[in-house]
Amino acid sequence: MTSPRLSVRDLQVTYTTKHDEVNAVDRVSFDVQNDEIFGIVGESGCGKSTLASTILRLLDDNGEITGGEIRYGDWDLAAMSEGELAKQIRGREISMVFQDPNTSLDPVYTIGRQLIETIRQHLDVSKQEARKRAIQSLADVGIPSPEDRLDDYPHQFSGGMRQRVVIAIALSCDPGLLIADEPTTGLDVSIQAQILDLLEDINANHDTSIILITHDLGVVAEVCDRVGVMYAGNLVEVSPVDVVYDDPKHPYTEDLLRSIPETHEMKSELTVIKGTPPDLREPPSGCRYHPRCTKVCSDACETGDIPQEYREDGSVVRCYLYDPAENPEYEGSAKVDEGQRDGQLESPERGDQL
Amino acid sequence: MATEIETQQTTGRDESQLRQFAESFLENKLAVFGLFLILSIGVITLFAPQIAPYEPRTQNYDAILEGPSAEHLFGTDNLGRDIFSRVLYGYQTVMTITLGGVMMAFVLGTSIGLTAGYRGGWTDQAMMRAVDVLMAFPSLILALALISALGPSKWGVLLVLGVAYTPIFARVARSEAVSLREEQFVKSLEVRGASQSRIVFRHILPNAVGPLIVTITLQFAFGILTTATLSFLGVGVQPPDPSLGRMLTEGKDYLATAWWYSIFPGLAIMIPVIGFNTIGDGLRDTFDPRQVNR
Amino acid sequence: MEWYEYVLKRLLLFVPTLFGVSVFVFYLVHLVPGSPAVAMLGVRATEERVQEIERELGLHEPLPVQYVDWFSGVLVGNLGQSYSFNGPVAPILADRFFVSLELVLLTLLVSLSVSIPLGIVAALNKNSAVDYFSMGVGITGVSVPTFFSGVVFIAIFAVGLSWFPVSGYVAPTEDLVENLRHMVLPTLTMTLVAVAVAMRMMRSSMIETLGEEYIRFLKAKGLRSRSILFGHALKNSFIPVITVIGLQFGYMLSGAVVVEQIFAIPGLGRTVLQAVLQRDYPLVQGSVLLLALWFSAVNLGTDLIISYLDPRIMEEEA
Repeated sequence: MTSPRLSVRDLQVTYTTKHDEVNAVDRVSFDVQNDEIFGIVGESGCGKSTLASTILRLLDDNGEITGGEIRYGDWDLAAMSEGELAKQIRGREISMVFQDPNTSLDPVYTIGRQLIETIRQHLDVSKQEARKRAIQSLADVGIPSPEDRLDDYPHQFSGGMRQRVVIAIALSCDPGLLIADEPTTGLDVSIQAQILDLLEDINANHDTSIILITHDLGVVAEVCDRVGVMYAGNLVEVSPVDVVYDDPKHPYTEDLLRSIPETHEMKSELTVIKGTPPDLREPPSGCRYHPRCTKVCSDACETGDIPQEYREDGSVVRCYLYDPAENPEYEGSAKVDEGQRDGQLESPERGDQL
Repeated sequence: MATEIETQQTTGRDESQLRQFAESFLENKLAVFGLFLILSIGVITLFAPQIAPYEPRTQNYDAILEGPSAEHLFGTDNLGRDIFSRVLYGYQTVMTITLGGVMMAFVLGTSIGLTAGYRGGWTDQAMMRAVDVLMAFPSLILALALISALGPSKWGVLLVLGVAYTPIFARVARSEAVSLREEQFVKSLEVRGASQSRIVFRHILPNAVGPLIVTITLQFAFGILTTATLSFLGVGVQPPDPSLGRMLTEGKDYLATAWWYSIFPGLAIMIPVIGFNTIGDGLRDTFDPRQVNR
Repeated sequence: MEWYEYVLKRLLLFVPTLFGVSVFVFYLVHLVPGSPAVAMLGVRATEERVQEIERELGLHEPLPVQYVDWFSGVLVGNLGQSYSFNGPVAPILADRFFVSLELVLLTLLVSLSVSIPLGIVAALNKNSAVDYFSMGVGITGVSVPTFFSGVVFIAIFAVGLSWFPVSGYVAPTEDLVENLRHMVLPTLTMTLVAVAVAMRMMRSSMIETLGEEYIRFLKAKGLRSRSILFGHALKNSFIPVITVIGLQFGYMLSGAVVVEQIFAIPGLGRTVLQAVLQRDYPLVQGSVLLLALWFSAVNLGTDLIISYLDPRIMEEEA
């Protein structure tokens, strides 16, 4: 069994504001395998963008990692120094693409300069070579006549083309992982599909795993191999994509699916679940979904800790429904056993979590 | 900069919004301090005759160039006049002129700007080119040029401020009108056949009020400085009207022996200017939260 | 649009403004109530002298004819005769222009080398001691009347400590060291205001830029904070500062009037004031025209620099 490309364990992120402390990401664990596209879905405010920024340690000043680790190769990104991160990881091993291509590029420099700057930051190449590589990167993401466009400014590109440029910059040093945070949200529907195709193409033709953050289950169905579902700072379920659609494990996943219309169209808002997402300044006790859940099975749902991770049909799910001790009707034995999880890293301190 | 505020569908601002606005403004301690300064100066200006211990023009040859004391808070000048009383009356002069000048510029400039911005096209071009011409002059130079024609006097300064600051109000008002013109509520008023002047003054003006208030406040600060500067240069307020700027001109010759003669009038000019500047900054932050100035 | 096309367009648009400025300056004399000749000479002037001046100024011609006469003179550098100086206006102004130019350039140099670093440091350390200090300087700078700070500087550094001369001017061609010694206090006085405005703008512009998404993207690309700051944030945040410096130039020229008067420096500003006080209308017209031209040219220049640095500006205006 090869080890996963990225392995996140018990990650906890806290924002400190004037009055409160908010755990925007709480005890999140997941792996991203080599060459897979891993989706992270959830409503806005569930912590998925924070999670994405945390991997590259791009949190705002008031946010910090308060627990857990982020393993990539031999590195723990959560513990690395800023200097090491910039040198070894950011843009080199892991790249990130943001939501709005219109604001992701420096408006006063040509895209060529911004590409070459990235390449020369990480690779020891001459200017000419970097330029050649830059042209290749633009060609790779499907920008017509890349040589001529190198000297254009960001505002001279359309939105979709601009996002391609951003992706080209992100991929210019052949990273092992690309984190795409809602990369299609700001684009026209027709362009969205093109960008998703591009991501699939990159994933297929380069040795690049992708984490795709989105609120859009349609997008997930289209391109992802596995999906993590986030709710109120918790990763409540991680499943292969067909499991999510055919046999979702967590009640929240189920409700989320039910809330998208049958006609498979890109829909940007999911509104049908009763109640509202919780205020993370004062999260509900127990399982954070229990106030909205239709399948509350035990007192533990309301009063216990956040459910642990249980294993079921290749999925990992955090719900007391899968705990024989709490749900008498449950007949499997889903308790997560350390060795069982695909590509599980050794992490001795996991025992403490109980 | 401070041109984008929330535009609403209706012209009135409801109370909760006003309260929210007040709260966020009051959070800015510097601005509240400025407001306090201005209110104090306002009271002093209004009640100068009651507060002033001496008649500002009374000369007293027994008390020439006396330092600050309980009798003469800010000391006396070369003619034995009480500087404190003269400062109080000086406020009356400078405030009257500035208020008049800024209001004149506000009325003129806002009318020009709103009309140009709302009507667009040829009117806009012509009006804004004229504004450009006025803006081509540094403000004090424009003031001096106008005074050379009108002659130096209190009312001359008022008029000059009015002309010199008109372009600024015109620009601010125009940019507001241009963006508001495209708003739905303006379009629907047009469809319903409201007259142009009604749309401009009843509907667009109230929505452009935020940036205009900021401009008024900041121009007040400039106006006080300019009025005092012109008086200092000898082309503003003429004797016997008490003037803070001219007190400095006279006092600077006695700097080595009677510092109070110029220092107190100088500080007196600064206080309302600081007040208006901090209020203006505070209002701008409140109206335009995009600017992260705090 | 190519940059040179934009430059051409802006130069063309500059022509009507210049025309307007010249009309305004020309018409100034006609704003004078009664006859400008009487205003110049005083009420006790003899009738013949008044007539003579009126003839010299061409006041009996129809206005458009007068304007054309005057303006064709301006174009060939003939700005008329100064009565208080007893000589042609143009050479007087030329001498004085260079005096003011030195003052303004020194002020720009000093104020920018203080305000830009201070603004950046304040932006990077929001709510720190440096930030509050810079805010204090900012508010004081824009609130102190130039004539007051000038007088105070004289009291402290010239009268009290005797470090610098109280007033006066020495041409740099005569004695450069003395020239600079005489320029220190005037420059310092002007700098106070200039620093305040540029620094406040630099600070808020830098804070805004650092909050932009592309700064995050640059970080995500692996750029070091120093390359992000100096390679990207500085250029982006400096662009609005350039605009402010251009506008600021108008205040500088205004300030030069006061400073030149206080320190007895024979520059353009002092000339305008003397001309106004003496009612020397040809000199008023000439100096006001020159100052307006100077100010407009600087503003045009900054606009062109900005459009060169930020190509989006050309698109917006196209």
